Amino acid sequence: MTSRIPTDLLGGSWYIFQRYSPLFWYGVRNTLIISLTATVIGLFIGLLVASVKTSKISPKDSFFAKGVKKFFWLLSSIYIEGFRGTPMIVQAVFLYHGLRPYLQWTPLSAGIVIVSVNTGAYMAEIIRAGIQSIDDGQYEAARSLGMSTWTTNRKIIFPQAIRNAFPAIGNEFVVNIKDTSVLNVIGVTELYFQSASVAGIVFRFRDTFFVTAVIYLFLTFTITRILRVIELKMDSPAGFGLASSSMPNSFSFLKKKGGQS
Amino acid sequence: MNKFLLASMASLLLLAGCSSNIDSENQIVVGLECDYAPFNWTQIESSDTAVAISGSIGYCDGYDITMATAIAEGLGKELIVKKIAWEGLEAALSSKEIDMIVAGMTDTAERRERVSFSDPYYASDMVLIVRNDSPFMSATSLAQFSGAKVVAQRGTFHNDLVPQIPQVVHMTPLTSFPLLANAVISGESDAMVSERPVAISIVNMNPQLAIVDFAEGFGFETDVEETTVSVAIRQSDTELRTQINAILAGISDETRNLWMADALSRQPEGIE
Repeated sequence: MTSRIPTDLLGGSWYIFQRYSPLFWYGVRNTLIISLTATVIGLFIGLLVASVKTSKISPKDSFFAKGVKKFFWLLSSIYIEGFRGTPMIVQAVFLYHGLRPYLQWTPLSAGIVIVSVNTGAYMAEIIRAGIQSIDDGQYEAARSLGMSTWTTNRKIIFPQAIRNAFPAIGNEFVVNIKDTSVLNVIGVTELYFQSASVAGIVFRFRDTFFVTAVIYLFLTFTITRILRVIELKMDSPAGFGLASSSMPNSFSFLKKKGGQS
Repeated sequence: MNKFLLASMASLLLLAGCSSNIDSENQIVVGLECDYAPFNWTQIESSDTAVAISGSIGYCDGYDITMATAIAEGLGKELIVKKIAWEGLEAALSSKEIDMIVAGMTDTAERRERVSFSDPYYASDMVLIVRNDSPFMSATSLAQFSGAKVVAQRGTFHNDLVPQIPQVVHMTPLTSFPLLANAVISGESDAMVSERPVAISIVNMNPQLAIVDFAEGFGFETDVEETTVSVAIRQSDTELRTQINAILAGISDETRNLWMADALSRQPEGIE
């Protein structure tokens, strides 16, 4: 009487991968959906919060405007410190169960919101560094052309800040692919959760999680390469002009590729 | 920029629309781990007895599913299965994500403060699982496990039984049965606490493990209600409780044992 599963690491892992690949792929799908969506939403949260954090209070502002700016500055600081200073696994349990009575959300939607808000806090600091790397002279030039603060940010500051911070932004995506694994604690059926399920069927932890490790490594390695290619394209002459044009045109190299085919 | 904004708005709207719609008139939602064979497990193929897991991939089968199907039939409702981690089951019940827990859960005084229980739907006894090359293999009483490293599942009464062994090394409890089995296989623990049907499943899948059972009076001292499992429902659902009890009363002990034997033989990855 023997189990059907080979006893050695590679044989056992291969058997488990072949037999239970639908469960693994379902987990991969959810892991990618959550990490990609949350990185994009987190980037927008980061832009918003970073622009609040970097907006300067000028002596010419009215008393009311000063108050509003200070209030939002304080709010942004609390948000950033709160979410960077606590582990995501704690945020997940607290927010999911705490808000469930009011929101009736599913683990998947809760997972996307939690990772987005968590990423937003890190993105805010990444974007802030990107914004601060831009010379003050550009603000002055924009102001002398009659641009509003929002137009200046949108057309001049953000495209350059995003470009300067691109490696760090891409890194957040890779980090999110790995960190979504903590969402298994609220029952999100991402890759780690699915792996634990497979381990529960086959009662073989070492072999199951070897498969999981290889899948995670494949995902992060592939995405790191893709991000590197995008980064090189941005640095190439075709990527120049980024600072002077609006966002969609700044990715003109992507459009060019599409146009050739 | 606008396209990005639109796309993110759209995805947020999608998220908002994600909340599940359960038709409580015609459906009954059961929550379980699908990770506690032979009471419940996950499989990728459909079968006559397995039920598709709602909102995920795969099917759930096992003794609990057979019982939940019988309850749903008795109520005249369609059975919806949700896969939820053990720690999240009671929260899911109170937030009305599920209507009942049929997950090999034991009726305890502590749990009864938060949920209400039906009459038992299975009775079992407690055993220990050891490696088959272990010196504890030949033990016939709990006293012979003196000095052994023993582990049990966190948040269960199994864990409260461990101190009954004299001079026991009570290992930090773990969250799931596969993890417990792994701890014994790796030698981190000498023995794990389990109910008999679950122990049979684990030993079937791990030939290097064996069951040590005890004659009457030499094993764990348990209250009768501790070694039974019941259906958990919300305290407010008194009518549902009456209905479930009436259905359970119609299922004899012979039928229950037969269903458990069937569940044990249906398990995926069992020995050939």
